[in-house]
Amino acid sequence: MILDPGFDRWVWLGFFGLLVVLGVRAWVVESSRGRLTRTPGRVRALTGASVVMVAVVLSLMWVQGGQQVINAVVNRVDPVTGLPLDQPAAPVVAPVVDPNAPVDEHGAPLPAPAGPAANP
Amino acid sequence: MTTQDTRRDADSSRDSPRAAVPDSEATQVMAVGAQDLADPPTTALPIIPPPPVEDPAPPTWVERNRPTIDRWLSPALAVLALAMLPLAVATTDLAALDGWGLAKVLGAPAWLALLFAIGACLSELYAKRPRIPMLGAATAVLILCSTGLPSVIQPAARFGTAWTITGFVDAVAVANGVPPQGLDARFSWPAFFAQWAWFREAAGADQLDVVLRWFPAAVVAVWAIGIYALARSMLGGSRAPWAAAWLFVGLNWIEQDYFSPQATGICLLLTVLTFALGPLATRRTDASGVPGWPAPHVGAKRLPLWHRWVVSAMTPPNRPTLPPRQLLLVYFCAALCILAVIPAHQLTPFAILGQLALLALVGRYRGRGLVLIGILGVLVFILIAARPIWTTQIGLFIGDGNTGAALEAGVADRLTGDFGQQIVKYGRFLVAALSYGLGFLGAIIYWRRRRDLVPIGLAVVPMGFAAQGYGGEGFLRILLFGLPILTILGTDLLRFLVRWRGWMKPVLAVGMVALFAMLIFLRGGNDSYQVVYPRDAEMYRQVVATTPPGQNVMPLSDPGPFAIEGLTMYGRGGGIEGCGRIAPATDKIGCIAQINPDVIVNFGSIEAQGVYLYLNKPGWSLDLANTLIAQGTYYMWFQDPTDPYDFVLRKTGAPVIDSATQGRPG
Repeated sequence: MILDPGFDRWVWLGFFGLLVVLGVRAWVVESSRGRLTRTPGRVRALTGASVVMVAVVLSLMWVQGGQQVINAVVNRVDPVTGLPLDQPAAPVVAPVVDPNAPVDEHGAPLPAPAGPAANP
Repeated sequence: MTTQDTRRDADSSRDSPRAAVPDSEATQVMAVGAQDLADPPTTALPIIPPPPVEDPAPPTWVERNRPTIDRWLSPALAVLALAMLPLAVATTDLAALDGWGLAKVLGAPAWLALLFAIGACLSELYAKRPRIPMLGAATAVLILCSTGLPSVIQPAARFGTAWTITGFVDAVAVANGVPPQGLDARFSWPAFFAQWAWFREAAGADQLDVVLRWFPAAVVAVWAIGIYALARSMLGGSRAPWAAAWLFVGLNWIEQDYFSPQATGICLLLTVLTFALGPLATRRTDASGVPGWPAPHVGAKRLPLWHRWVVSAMTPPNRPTLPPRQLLLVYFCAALCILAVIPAHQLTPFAILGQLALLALVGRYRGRGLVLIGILGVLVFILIAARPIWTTQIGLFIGDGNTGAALEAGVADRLTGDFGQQIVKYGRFLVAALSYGLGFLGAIIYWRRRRDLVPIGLAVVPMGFAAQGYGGEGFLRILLFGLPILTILGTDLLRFLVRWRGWMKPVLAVGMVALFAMLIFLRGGNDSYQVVYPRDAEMYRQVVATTPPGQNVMPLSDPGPFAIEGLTMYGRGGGIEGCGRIAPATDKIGCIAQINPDVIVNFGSIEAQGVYLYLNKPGWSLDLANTLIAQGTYYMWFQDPTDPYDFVLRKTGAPVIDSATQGRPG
């Protein structure tokens, strides 16, 4: 997985743009006095702009890691390596230990004595 | 009197001499009307003479002095409660703490302070005209004498986790506001640490010990304000909201009010909920006749459920009765709270959004865009700002789905310790059950009164955290996020009981005393190993000042003010199975040999935790230190003369620098 951190700023900008559009829409909706009339055109335009901005932010998030996270959550795999999360660890092969080897006072095996010198 | 109204004013009939004489005029008119309608003639009933009026009993002393009592009793009791606190400090022997916790060692003045504080609250509540400022002051005194009692009695902030978090703040402060990476998952939600680092820098302080000490009492006071505001919206009335705030304080044994992100998060959660259920609250249907979707014809077949859901979802909620500018200001503040909590805490945003989504689904507030803002905010933050977390610890988000194991870790594994500890923990379990019992019974009353089951849904939403891999503390959070609504519903039940049976008032007053005594017992249950002394913090700061960076500094267990400075400078060893904490480990010497720390730090609280929670024999930590010294691997670098269990061991041969030349980074 290769993500460009420099592209993150576009996600932040998209999100802040969405906040601005939603704020403007809230202003227009709440300050309009018509209660039972048809939705004003500018409110509908701002609703459309909000939908577009949500789509833009979701697309940017999909590119900047959303795809990997969804894949990891749905398939329970590691988002970086793609390996299953529940994969059991590889069995550890126990070292061959002489049960009669000497141990120190804490039970730890003492280092093996030096072997005989190699034949010249 | 009209011709149709044959009722007679009872008082006038009793007092007037005409009462004994039949009202011939009225009878005449009625008789004419009866003839017209061909009804049987009216029969005059015989007048029963009223019983002889007895002289009213002379007013009692309380009745005669009621205005004076109402004015002065509550302030006097509040002042008495405050006056007891210095005596409580003097008569409490913290050195005698054991597995039964703080309640066992408290002096009589501490209990009297609590009693007076409760009396101040109740006397004002039962006054003819309760004064809001006095109720607020009495509530503050109650919080100080219950939740804040450890802050008053103990010389420093209790709870090791609070000290750990101040270490996080220190790490952010010394790095000029940049949280360290790869050290702790909590640094991926750094807003709380950055906020306090900024406060610390702005105040010119280099530690937050005093803030830590008084934080629980202050933050619970803020929570109580939130509960009061929420209860005013949900219950109405002038007394029930205060009772709800007191019930919340009394049931809050959870101790998530220490210096922590979640404590701030609850403040923001309550703010958002208060907005949603207060000024933004509305309904889709409007009894005043504003047209919405047409009502079905009489006798028509009922629409399918999904059709009703679609109709309901597409019907816009009514506009609250607020001016547009105020409405927009509330939207802005609510959005700000949601956006502020997202980078501060992992779970709180999900609790807020879950509860808001439920309210939006049933059309209970205006401003459904808040849910959209919150969901997208959480997603953007996790994907971009918390990228190191999901790339390395995706399991935190998806959990393991093993609710049984989480339940075991959250509940069963905590029921350990000596007899006192077990009683404390079973008591917590019982009070949690009491909270849910009160909440669900209150939901029935709320349903009977308002035909509304949504509030209990708000308490159920946080239970979704049970499936998340957050660890054992997840269950504490479930209770914490649900507790505000549970207490408000419980208050509705208590109000119903008082209205149903007047004699319940004194019973509930006694119940309040019992609840707050239980609160002190449960909250202080771990104080034998949560108490911290200033000398402990001073000792650790000396360790930081004299230990070269890069060494492994390790405590024998969690309690105490460990890692309050130099978090990024030292390792802690660890990573060895069965040796996460030395205190409960079966082979303590073997664990230390494997971890091989350069410095070993111990506090008196760690010794107490080993004795009362892990059932080690008394003096185990000092025995361990003597064994290590006898082996020649460590030497005693410092031992506090007043507490032999406050000591620091250093590895033989490990370098130590002169504290006079050591400067703190940053």
